[in-house]
Amino acid sequence: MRITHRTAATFCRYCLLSIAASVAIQLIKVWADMAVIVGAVGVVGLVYALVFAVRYYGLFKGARWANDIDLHTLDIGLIEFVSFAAWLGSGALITWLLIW
Amino acid sequence: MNVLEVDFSEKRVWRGIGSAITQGSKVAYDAAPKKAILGYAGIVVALGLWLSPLSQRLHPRVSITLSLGAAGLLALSASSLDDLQDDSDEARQGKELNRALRQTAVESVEATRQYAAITSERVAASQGLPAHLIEPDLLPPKEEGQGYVAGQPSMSDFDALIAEEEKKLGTSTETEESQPAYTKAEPLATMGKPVAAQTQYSFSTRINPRSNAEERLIDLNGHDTYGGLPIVDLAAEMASDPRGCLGFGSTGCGKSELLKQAIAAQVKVDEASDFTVFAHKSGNAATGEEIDYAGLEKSSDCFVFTASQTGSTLEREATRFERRVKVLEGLIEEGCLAPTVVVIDQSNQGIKAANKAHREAKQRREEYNASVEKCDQDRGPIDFKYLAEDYSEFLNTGLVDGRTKKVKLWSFGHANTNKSAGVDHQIKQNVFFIGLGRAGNYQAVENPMKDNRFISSQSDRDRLQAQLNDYLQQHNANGAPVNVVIAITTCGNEGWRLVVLPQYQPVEPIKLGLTNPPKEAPAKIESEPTHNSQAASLEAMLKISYTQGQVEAARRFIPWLRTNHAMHCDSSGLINPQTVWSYFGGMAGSEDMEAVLQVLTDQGVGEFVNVSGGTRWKPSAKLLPQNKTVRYTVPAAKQQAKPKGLTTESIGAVINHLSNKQIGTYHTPSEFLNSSRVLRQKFGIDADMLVQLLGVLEKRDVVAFTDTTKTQFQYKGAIAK
Repeated sequence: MRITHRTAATFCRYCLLSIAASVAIQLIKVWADMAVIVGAVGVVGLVYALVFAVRYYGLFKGARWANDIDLHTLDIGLIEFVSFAAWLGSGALITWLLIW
Repeated sequence: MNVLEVDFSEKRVWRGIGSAITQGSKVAYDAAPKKAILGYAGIVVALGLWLSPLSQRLHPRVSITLSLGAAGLLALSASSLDDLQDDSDEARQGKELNRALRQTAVESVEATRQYAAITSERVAASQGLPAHLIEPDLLPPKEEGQGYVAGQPSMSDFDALIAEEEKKLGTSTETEESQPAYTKAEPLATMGKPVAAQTQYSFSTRINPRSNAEERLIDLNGHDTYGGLPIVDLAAEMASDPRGCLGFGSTGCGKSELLKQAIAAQVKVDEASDFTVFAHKSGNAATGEEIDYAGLEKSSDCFVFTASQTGSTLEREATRFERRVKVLEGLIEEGCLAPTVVVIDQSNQGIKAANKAHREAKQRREEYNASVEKCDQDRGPIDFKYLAEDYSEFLNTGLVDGRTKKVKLWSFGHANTNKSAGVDHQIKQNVFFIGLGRAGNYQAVENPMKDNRFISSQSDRDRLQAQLNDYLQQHNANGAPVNVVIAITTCGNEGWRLVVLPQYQPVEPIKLGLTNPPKEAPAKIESEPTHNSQAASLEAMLKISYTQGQVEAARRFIPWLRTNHAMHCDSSGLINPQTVWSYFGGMAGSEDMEAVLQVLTDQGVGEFVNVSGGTRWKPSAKLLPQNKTVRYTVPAAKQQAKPKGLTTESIGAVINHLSNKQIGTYHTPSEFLNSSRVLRQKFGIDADMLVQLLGVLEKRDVVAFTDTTKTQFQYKGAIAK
């Protein structure tokens, strides 16, 4: 991997995801109902993660049913989807830890 | 300078230090990557703006605002860093390109230097060798007048040597007058011929029958050149050249004569040539002058389709013409065994004729639609909507693609512009060109010389113009005889050249036969004795034979049709094979019926015609009695109670109108009534009355309703039952 200015620009864009998640967490303090939305997104994310885990568990075990499970990944690759989720989650987690 | 010896209390020292620092800062500033610094600083500041309010646990509104500000700053930084990277990539690519170009230049220079060094070594090594052992690329370029190999005697030296030897032997060519003298400039065509007669022409005069003016004539027979131009049999070259031909010339320049001669020449090249003539001009009927295409004007392959035709003549000729164009397109698509030549006289007039046919057909259709308010769409005048475009496309396709399919087009016209000739400029690159000029009309000869789309080379255009000027000078000096035709042409493989056409002898009409049948073709195809194996095999392939069953069915059909023609012939006297086969009996389908009708067509008792609804067959006068109109009369014994409101006359009118419909066609009662003003206005029949009457006819199997609601019925014919 070649580290260039473009790498820093990509880092900036991912940071925007973290800031977005951070703002959502901070909004809970301003608007209490935001917690429900964040909670719902979190639950969806957990479900996604669970289904992903089950699918890949099945794939690694060679189970045929694992191929039939197909989740929408926003038309991007799996790794990129995971990194999206990771940046969002880390932004939310950092904010949570700092303000609570 | 020793720092320890500097007196820092002096202001001058501090001023010096300050200016050094300033200059250093300026240098550092100039050298610093400002964009990168700003971008990265923006990232740091943005992260600080985001995280520090959180760690300080500031009010949420403040921290949210600062977070959003940080997001904006991060976006700006990302954008500027992307631009920075793009600039860097571009600079790197430019450097790599320059490096590659320099390397290539160095390599080519090095290769040239090495080649020059090797060549000089080779030249040095060949210095002492005789000329014939020196490598050819090391020889000096030959000078003007020298022979092929430097140092060898030239042809003129060789002639001198021969003359010297012959003198020694006592023989000399000077006394033998029968042997021709060899001259370098003598063209090949005149080799071995006496030179003396070539420059003497004989002249005569005649009275022009049209203008009554005296005209000067010249006899070019026996000559090979005139006015500095060679006399070339262009007709023979046209026959030999497999490419299509585009020919242009004003009226009276000899286009038709050239075509006639070319047809005769083509027959000499291949007797099995199949001709089609599209004559878009007619003769002068008042003076008895007729079109002449070496006998093809008497063949059924000659189509006279002109813009001066009108009415039914135009429609008939347009129909024939359209059909033949489609046949030729099929040949161009699939190829053919025997060479097919399509002769087109005045192609631009042909396109005008096609447009005129379309206009007249459109007018007839409008009149037809106006006269019958809701017409039966099966009938109506034929339209030639796309005939002009199809013809133009046929010309384009035939001129280019025909060569590989043994189809060649000779298209002659007046103008030489793309639009009026109906062909694309690109086509001109794939055919050979002939422009004719005669008796002061040299426009078709001169125009290509002025157009670089025809003759791309300026030197060629200048050369040809100079030749034309010389010719005109000599021609005018000879009194401008009117019977000399010149041509600019690319026929053959000599490029653009100016030639004079020979004074052709009258051509014998070609023998019409299997490939080019005469107009009144006999019912039976007669085989002609021929010594040409190609013509014999073609004849064998074209021979049509019918089965015994088809001939018997044709014999049965004649009396059957005479009995039942009233039921099966429509108002135009045409029979639809698609519907009549089921009534005739013994036919497996409409194809069998068409084969039987074809037998009768060959016997000359009918013909196929194309109408808008498809193909029909028209029995001739000798098959059917003429001018008999069948009126249906209800037999007294079969009369039954008339439906309310209907009279005998009105019933008769309905049945007469019904008999004009095609058997097997479907109609609705309202449509049936709307197609006859007489039924509606004169007899006052409405839809209900009609349905009642149709119910009666249904019992007699004349019509059949398609459903119980009686909204549609089919005419089954057989009224006389």
